[in-house]
Order: sequence, then C-alpha cells, then structure tokens
Amino acid sequence: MTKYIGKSIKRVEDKRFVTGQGKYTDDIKLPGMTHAYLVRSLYAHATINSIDTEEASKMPGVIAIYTGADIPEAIAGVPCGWQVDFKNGDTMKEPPHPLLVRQKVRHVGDGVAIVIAETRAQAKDAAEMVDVDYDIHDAVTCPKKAVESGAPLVHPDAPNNLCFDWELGNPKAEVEEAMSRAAHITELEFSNQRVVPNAIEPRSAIGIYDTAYDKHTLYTSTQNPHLIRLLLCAFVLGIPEHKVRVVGPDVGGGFGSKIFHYTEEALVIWCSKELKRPVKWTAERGESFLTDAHGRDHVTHAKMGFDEDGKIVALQADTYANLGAYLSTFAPAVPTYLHGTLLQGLYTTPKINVDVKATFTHTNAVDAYRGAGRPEATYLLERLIDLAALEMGKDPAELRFKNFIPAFDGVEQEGYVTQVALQYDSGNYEPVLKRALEMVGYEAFREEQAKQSNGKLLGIGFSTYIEACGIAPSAVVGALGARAGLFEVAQVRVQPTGKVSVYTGSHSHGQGHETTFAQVVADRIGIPIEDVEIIHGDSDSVAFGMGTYGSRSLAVGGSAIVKSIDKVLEKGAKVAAHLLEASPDDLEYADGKWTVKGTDKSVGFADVSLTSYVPHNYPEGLEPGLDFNAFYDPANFTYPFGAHVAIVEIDKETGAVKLKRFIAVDDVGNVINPMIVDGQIHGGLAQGIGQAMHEGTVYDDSGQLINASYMDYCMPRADDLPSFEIDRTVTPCPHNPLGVKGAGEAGCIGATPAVVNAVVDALWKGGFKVKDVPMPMTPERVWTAMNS
Amino acid sequence: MVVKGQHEFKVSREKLWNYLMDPEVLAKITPGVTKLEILDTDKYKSVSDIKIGPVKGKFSGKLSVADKQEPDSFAIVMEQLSKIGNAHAKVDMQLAELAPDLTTLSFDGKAKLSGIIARTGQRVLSGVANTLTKEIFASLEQHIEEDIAKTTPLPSQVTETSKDNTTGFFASIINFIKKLFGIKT
Repeated sequence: MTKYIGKSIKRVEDKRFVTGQGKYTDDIKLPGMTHAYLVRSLYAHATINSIDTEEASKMPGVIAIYTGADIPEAIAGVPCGWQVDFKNGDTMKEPPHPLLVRQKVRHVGDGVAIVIAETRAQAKDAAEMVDVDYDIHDAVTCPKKAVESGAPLVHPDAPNNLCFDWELGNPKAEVEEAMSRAAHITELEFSNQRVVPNAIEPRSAIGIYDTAYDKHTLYTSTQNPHLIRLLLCAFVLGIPEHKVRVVGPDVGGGFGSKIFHYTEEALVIWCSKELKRPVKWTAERGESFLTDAHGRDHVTHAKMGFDEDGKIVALQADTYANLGAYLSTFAPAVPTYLHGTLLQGLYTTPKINVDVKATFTHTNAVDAYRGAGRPEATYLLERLIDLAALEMGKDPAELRFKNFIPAFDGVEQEGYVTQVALQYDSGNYEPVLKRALEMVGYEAFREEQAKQSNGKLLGIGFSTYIEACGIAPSAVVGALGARAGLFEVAQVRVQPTGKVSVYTGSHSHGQGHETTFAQVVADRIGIPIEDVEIIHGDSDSVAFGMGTYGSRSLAVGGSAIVKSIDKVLEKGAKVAAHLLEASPDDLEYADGKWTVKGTDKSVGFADVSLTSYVPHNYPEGLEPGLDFNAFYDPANFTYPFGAHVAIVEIDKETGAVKLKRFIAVDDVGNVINPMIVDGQIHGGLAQGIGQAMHEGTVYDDSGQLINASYMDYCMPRADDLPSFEIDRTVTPCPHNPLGVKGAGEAGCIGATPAVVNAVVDALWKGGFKVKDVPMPMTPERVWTAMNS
Repeated sequence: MVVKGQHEFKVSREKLWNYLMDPEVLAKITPGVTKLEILDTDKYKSVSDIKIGPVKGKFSGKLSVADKQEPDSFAIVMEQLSKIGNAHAKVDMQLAELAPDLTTLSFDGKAKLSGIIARTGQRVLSGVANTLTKEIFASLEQHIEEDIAKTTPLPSQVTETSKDNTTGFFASIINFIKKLFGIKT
C-alpha cells in the first residue's frame, strides 16, 4: 500500500529548477509589455510639498507617470486581514495603506509615484528625474520608544503610536501572586531583532487587461493567489472576482514575505487597465530590503518563577511589537495569536500572562516570517529556562525534564489544554530531548567543557520548542479576529485513461509539493507516481485556495486531497461494482483495483475511470465522470515539537563564536518524504541560526535602513554552519487523515535560542556571568559582553 | 552619521574666522563643489557633477552659515540632493585660541543621509568621514600657509573653483562609495 509514502523520492520539480527552466513571474514576456519603476520615499517621515514629473515625462520611452493624486479616491489602499482589539474592547487602529502616498510618507521606501516606460531601464532613468520636494520630520523606529510621550506620531489617529494593546492567559494578579511565592525568579529584558526575509526571487508582478473579455490577469510571486484575488477584488479595486485571474507561477522562496497583498500588485492591475497594455514590475534587491514585509522586532521583558524543586510556577511576558508604518495583511496576528498562545511551551506552567503592545513606527511593515510569532515565543521561553538553570545551578536538560507536560496521544488521552487558549493535539516530549542528549554525548561533553584549556570557551545551549501549525480551524481563527477562513481546497480529476490531475489550493514556492502530494495520491489510489500531476497557483484552474504558510500545506492541503480521493474511490466503487456485477459493500480496494472479497474477480482503476467517461455500460442514476473536490477545514492546529542543541566555542580574545555542532531532533508527525523534511529542517535551522549569529536589520535614528544590501546585511553561508545532526521521533497528529503536523518552520523556531543559550553557557562557565548577548551575536557584541 | 574632530591652525582666531567666512575658502573645505553661488548673506548654492559607475548624479544643494558667534563659533548647515541620495548635515564649528597665533577648530555634527548612500555602507562611513575630514583641514592649513605667502584675493560674487572632486568632505563620501563599488577614481 505504501509504495511511495515514507520514501525519499527525488523532487520532480527540481528537473526544471536546476536546468534553468523554471518559469518565474519576471521570466514572463508578453507582446506590448511595459515596465514600471516605483519612485520611493527617501525619508522615513516627511510631508510631500510637491511632485514634479515634467522633466521625467519627457525622458525617452516614458509612457505614463502616476502619483497618488492620479489614483481615484475610491481606491483606499490595501487592507489588513486580521483584527485584534484593545484590552478594553476598542477596535485596533487601522490606518489606510494607500497604493501611492498623497501627502505624508511614513517609511523609507513608501511608494510616491509609478513610472511606466517601454523598458525597465527607461522607467528607472525617468523615475530618477521625478522631483519630490519634502518637509522632513523626526522619525521613531523602536517599538518601545514609539509609545513614549513626545514620540513622533506615525498616524494622527493612533495616539501614542499604539495599534492595540492585548493580553492573554491568567489575570496578571494571579501570575503576580504565584510569582511572589517563587523560590527563584529569572528575569530578562531582550530584543528579538528585526530580520529581512530575503527570498532569492525578488517580488514581481505583471498586470494584464484583456479588453475583449474585460478581464484582468495578475501574475505575481505570491504564496496564495486566491487570497490575493479576494483582497484585490473585494477590498482594493472593486473589480468583480470572476473578472480577475491571479497566477502565482514558480516562486523562488517566500518565507512568509509573499503571503501578503502588496500595493504593487494592485498598481500594475490598475495601470494596465489605464494603458491597455501589460505592466510588469520587478523589485530590485534594494527594494526587497526596503519593502518586503520584515519579521520579528519585539522588545520584551519577561519573568519566570520557579519553586524550590525547579518547577515553573509562573510566567509574565510583556512585549512591545513593532508593526511598522502600515498594517501588513496578517501583521496583528503575529505578536498575539501566533506568539502569546505558544507561551505554555512544553511546560506545565500553571500561571501565564502575556501582555503585548503593538506599535506603529516609521519603518517598513512587519508581518509573518518563517515561524511567525512562534520563534519569538520559543526564544522568550527557552532563553529564560536556560538562564534559570545557570542562575539556580541546575542542569538545563534536567530542569526541562522536570517541567515537561506528560505524554498524551490525543486519542486515548485528551489533548493538553494550555493556560493560553490552545489545546495541544498530541505530544511526547521527553523522547526528543533524550535522543538529542544521546546524540550530543552529553556527559562526555560536560567533562570536556570542564577541562577546556585552549583559551577557548565551550558552551552548550538547549531549546525545546512547540509550535502551532497546520493553520487553521476557521471557526477558531474567526473568533480570534481572522477575516478569512483557513481551510484548504483540492480537486482530484481522474482523466478517462486513469491518469490523475490534482488541483491544490496550496502553493509551492520551494517546498516540493509536486513530489510530496504526488506520493500521497499515488499511494492512496495505488497508481504509479508518474500518473499523477500536481497543479497549483492559478485561480482560473484551481477552484479556490488559501495558500501556503504556517506549515499548513500537507496537514491542511494534503488532507483536502485525501478527502477528494476518498470521494473518487467511493464513486469508483459504484462503477466497479456495476462492472463486476457485485455490491459495492462486497468490494475491497487495494493496489489500484477493486476486487470482490474472497474472489479473484477484479477491475482496475483505469477501467473504472474509462467507464466513467465512456458510460455505455453504467450504473443507472449515477452521473458520468470521475472528478471530485473537497474543502478541508482542520479540527485543530497541529503541534510539532522538538529539541535543538547547539555547541559553540568562543575565542576569548576576539569574541568570535564558532558553531561547532548543531543537533536537532524534531517530531513533525508522520513523514511522507524524509528527504524533503530533512531539507526543510536544514533550511529552517540555517535561518534560525542566521538570526542568532548574523542577521539584523538596522534603522538609524532618522529611520534610514542602513544595511539594505548584501554588502551590509549578513546572511548565513554554508561555511558558517556545521553539518547538521538531525533525527526524528514520530507522534502522529490524531485529527488529520495523514497524521502529519508540518515541518516548514520547525528548524527556524527551535534553533535561535539554542545558539544564544550556548554562547551564554560558554561565557557563564568561563566565569563571565552574562545574562544576555544581543542578537546577532557578532564578535564585537560577545567581546563587549565579556568586558563590561 | 556623526562627524567629530579638531584641527590646529597657526593663525589667530580672528584670521581663521575670516578665512572660514570667505565663500572661496568655504567652497574649498566643505562639499566637493564645482560651483558656489552666493544666494544671500551666508547662504550659498552649490553644484557638482558626479559620475559613479552607472549612476550619473548631479549634486546640488544649499549651504549656509548659521548661529554665528564671531569669533567663537558658527555652524554649517548643508543640504545636498542627488539621484543616489541626499545628505542633510549640521556641523557646529568651535574656534578656540590656544596662543596668539594658534587656534583650534573643533567640529561636531550629524549628517543624515538618505537613498543609496544611506543604505549601502553607511555603518562604516562615519569613521571614514572623520578620517577624511582631517585631510580637508590639512588642505585648509595648506591654503592658509600659501595665502600668508601672497596677497589675499577678494572674494567674488560667483566663485568658480577649479578643483576636482577629490577633496572636500562630500567628495570624500563620494570617493568612499566609489571604493565600495570598486570604481576607479
């Protein structure tokens, strides 16, 4: 039955990717296509006095230049897809995000004008000639300083730059009371710095208007074409949805940054109708730095209380979350329902309160980035528990074992209900840490660490994380403020000859869906994998879809495919029964054929499909055809977990940190393609380690992003990383048909605190009682921590 | 970006003050301008044509002398606009007489950059700017020495300076960017 599931099948899509035949948005060339270039604000906060386009419009090849004044008033801007309210019930502040700014720019990179020309170079040359006269104002970039009195206001109708304040969990008084009885309290103020997603393919969009059919097409590098179509039609341009086709062709990485509906997508559609010619816009790398929604950017103060025995008794977490100048599509959900809800972690903490102040600043928007809120929660918890172990002189692994939630499978034992609004589906936490310790050779390592004598400091850091993914049950997220359902859609179209075309609402931008999904389909139907094709990304061929993010594709999208296959096989059984002159109840389906139980009478899948399309001899009253879709709305989130361990060596003289080993034991439920899951874990680890050691977005006081290039922004490279040592345990998800939990974000969620903890452990054991080294832990920062 | 430092000149404070208030001298020590036009008392318009690799930029800007406390202190307020980004700076200048013919000029200011010049290499620009500012004052010192040796010319209404774009504070930034991009100067 499982010929493909569980096998490391090579990715079918890689053939076109590695031979340069992938088709990305910018590869698309159309007759009569024009090129757009955005004039962007040079300043973080300024009033536009005037925009002079006269000289620019005379430049060679220029077709049109539009400013904010040219966009009809009725087009208010791009919307936000998630509403989080103030503690007192007031609605969050939701200032408009215009396609082009009319009066006031609010971050460097804000769109001021769009220049359209015959070539990209001509558009760029002309854009440079657009003369914008500004009055420059003071800016604020830090989420905590933004609420201080006297801070420059980003939006006049958001006092103190507050979008909302929010809390979750037990009442503060209860947490304080529990904290007051604690034998030890570990307290830490830290920043979870802003990072740039850096997808290898810059964002790109082409707007096409077909006058013959009065129909628009948008090609865009997106993670969710249908969502973009919905937002574009219903909230931005007011075009009927059936008159818009959105295609997300091959997409070169997203990491969350391509979930969101960006102004450029609406602009190219609007411009293409104005000009009756296709309009293409592709970001330059500098624009990607300035305008792709960023990730993280929290300033947090947290306290964790322990009893004499080392059991956690209380957790208080207070966070300032930076949302940037405008609300990106899912921005409000990230520091709240994807962060606060994860603060139970793997621990039995009885009292938890999380308080979040989400603020506007004169910076680019912040939204979901690989992990989205869960890395921030994991960082908070795992930094505190490791530091507590150092402060209390306890072993960090032992301290975790003492606090782990006992195992539950979600079937015999109920899911674990947390203090912060979730019910975990299934979990068995001890084995992942035990396995990680085994792989480390923990005792031997501690002996080696104690003996260190080469002028270097050895350290080990742990991170035992949980995440909520397989996003998400629509009713639950609806109650929490989501303005969309988060189900997924699949259509399994069996062709007359028994070949299968699967249309999925999930969107692959590097994850390998064309392979993983095909493995599921081939096994479930019992046909060769070559007979299956996975089609995604085109709103005109795929019925609907919510797209790919939150490690949801297999858990939610894959489940929708399984539900569709169930329908295909149910109907197929009726046809087979007719052909075999038996009752459907007497048939069993295996290896691609229906067999009358206890006999050798059987009929194959392709015979049934052919009969369904050539229904000459066919059951009475049954519709022809073999083509089903399913909408799958998950019953719960899924909760992967794991244990990550970093081993570092610090050069005492320079503060340089070398990551010597990284061990990751993850439990992502059942695994369809181990190679692809390994790849996802590896990539996630690299990004998580990157945040700990290399990456960090720097805005200066005036709101300039001063490291917006690969010369200035440090990305992790292969030679920065050790060869990862990874393993898995399997605790199946009890509520989806595949038992899968999701693996896309796990590495990125677990890795970051493990590395920082390892550095702090090394310093502590070397006699430097340092509580924190700010990320990214550059040699200078580590050296400063040692020498202050 | 912070610019800060000091330089000693072998002239009296009053003489140094006069040099610094001379538009021709000002043209020489501040941005690498090709043209300095007097707009009003203590207000100038400066223009410079610069080509950096594929980016051709005409830098134009305003320069003014403010907060004059003769002969103790003044400030240079600068606004330079170009296609590769703009610079807004205010630099406070302090003159302190150490001995009859020895004056220290201290400068302390902040430059706010935008555009490509802000987001590429700015983190290391500050240190470079300070080092290069020393060179600018060295050239002023040289000018003073040469000038003492001959008669001081009268400042004209429009001063065309013939110097190339290889000296001056702003030109130093440009040169630094050229180095970053590996462009031969």
